[in-house]
Amino acid sequence: MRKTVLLVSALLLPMGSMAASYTIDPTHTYPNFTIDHLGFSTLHGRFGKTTGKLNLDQAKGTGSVEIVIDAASIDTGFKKRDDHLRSPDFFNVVEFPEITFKSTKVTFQDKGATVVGDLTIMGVTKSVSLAIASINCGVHPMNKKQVCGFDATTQLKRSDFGMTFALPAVGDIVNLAIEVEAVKD
Amino acid sequence: MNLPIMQELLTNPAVQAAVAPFTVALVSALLLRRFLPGGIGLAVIGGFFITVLLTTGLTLQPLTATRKIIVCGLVLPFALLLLDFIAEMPQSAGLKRAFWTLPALLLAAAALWIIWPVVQRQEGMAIWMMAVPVMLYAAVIISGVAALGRVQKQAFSAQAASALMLAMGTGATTLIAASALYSQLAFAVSAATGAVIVVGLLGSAEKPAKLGMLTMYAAAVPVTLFAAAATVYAQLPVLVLLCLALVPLFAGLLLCKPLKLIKSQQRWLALIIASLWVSIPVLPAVWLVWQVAGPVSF
Repeated sequence: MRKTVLLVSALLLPMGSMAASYTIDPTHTYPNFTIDHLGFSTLHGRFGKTTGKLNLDQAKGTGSVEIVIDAASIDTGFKKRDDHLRSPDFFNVVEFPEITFKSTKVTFQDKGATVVGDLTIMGVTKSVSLAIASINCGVHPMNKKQVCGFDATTQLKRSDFGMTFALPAVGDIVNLAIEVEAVKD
Repeated sequence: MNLPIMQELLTNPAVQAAVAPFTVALVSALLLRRFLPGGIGLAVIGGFFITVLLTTGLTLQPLTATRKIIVCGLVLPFALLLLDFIAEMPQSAGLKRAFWTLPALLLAAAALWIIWPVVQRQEGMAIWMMAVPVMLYAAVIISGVAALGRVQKQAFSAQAASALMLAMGTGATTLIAASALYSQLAFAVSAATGAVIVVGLLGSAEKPAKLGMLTMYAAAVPVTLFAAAATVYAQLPVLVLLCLALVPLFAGLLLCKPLKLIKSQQRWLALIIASLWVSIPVLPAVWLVWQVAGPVSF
């Protein structure tokens, strides 16, 4: 998702430029999620390792993005729970170590965009749509490189990806919010 | 019928892992005992199947490790029974011995198939370190269970204790090893096996109770593969497999002369004593996994 956002940002940034490729900055790109916990509270978590690339062809108005999230990098702030989330009950990270996103369509609106793509979790691929309110591009004040950043959000059902353990006690709806920064190659 | 209450019941882990499989297996076993005594093991498969329906569903795509185990748990007991049947046919002693080894080879191959997605990502010695214990465990357990199951006389308590403790031990250790799903499915096998044992104990005292090979295989195959897979996909220490592998051996010891005193007890009492004896190797297994992954917290 974060990569998707990156793609969108890359698409928006170089309005006046030619085709360009960007590399996601893994130290400023984190997919975050929230999920209902037994009806008592909302659990927050995130994935710590994300990589990806995006390509933008400004002349043609097209772009693409590929994102790879290290499923084992899930972090909810409590190791025992994280171990359980890595187990076959949830993300089954040993068998499916990567969560991937590959965009299929990018649509720009005002300052933001909508990115539709194929999200694959545990071997199940579903189309999801990421909403991006604003894409912010410019020169990084420290390293002087061209950078784009944005926040993307979406909502999905974990059961759609075969993650049915503890339903309905642990919520089915997962809210995703992805902070993305990408550096021009 | 109040659908929300029913829905709540069917999503309750205790109902899924214990009440539902026990009930289905009990009803099935009572019917099978009357109409198809030799197929009473079908009740264990039925109990396991109902828990599969209530937890993971019957979807096979993508064919994950868990789904492979479920397929094996539902299909392989019949294949093993067929191999036993072939082995019993008149043939040379050498060929007969070869057939006796096939169940072990089949289970070892099934275990390798289940962990294959991970094995193929390993290199060098890591492949063997991962695959060998898992395959050995599957082979040893099924060989032990098959040998135990072939004992015809006064082996009910030992066979029942072995099937129960293997399933319960697997359920307990996989639960602590952070896979509640594996645990639920293993406990479901335990509950279904328990139902078949109860039906076996209901018979007259003159007629010796029998579990049958299908029951032994139906109880052993899924839990063996769950424990083996949990060393790869969850946090089950390999040493736990060593402990659980002793379960059929301990059950077999009950058939030795010095321990045959148990036969003189009432059948219920004999079963309880046998279960306590066979649980001895399960205790260090639970302790080991607790050191690595406990306590459980969801």
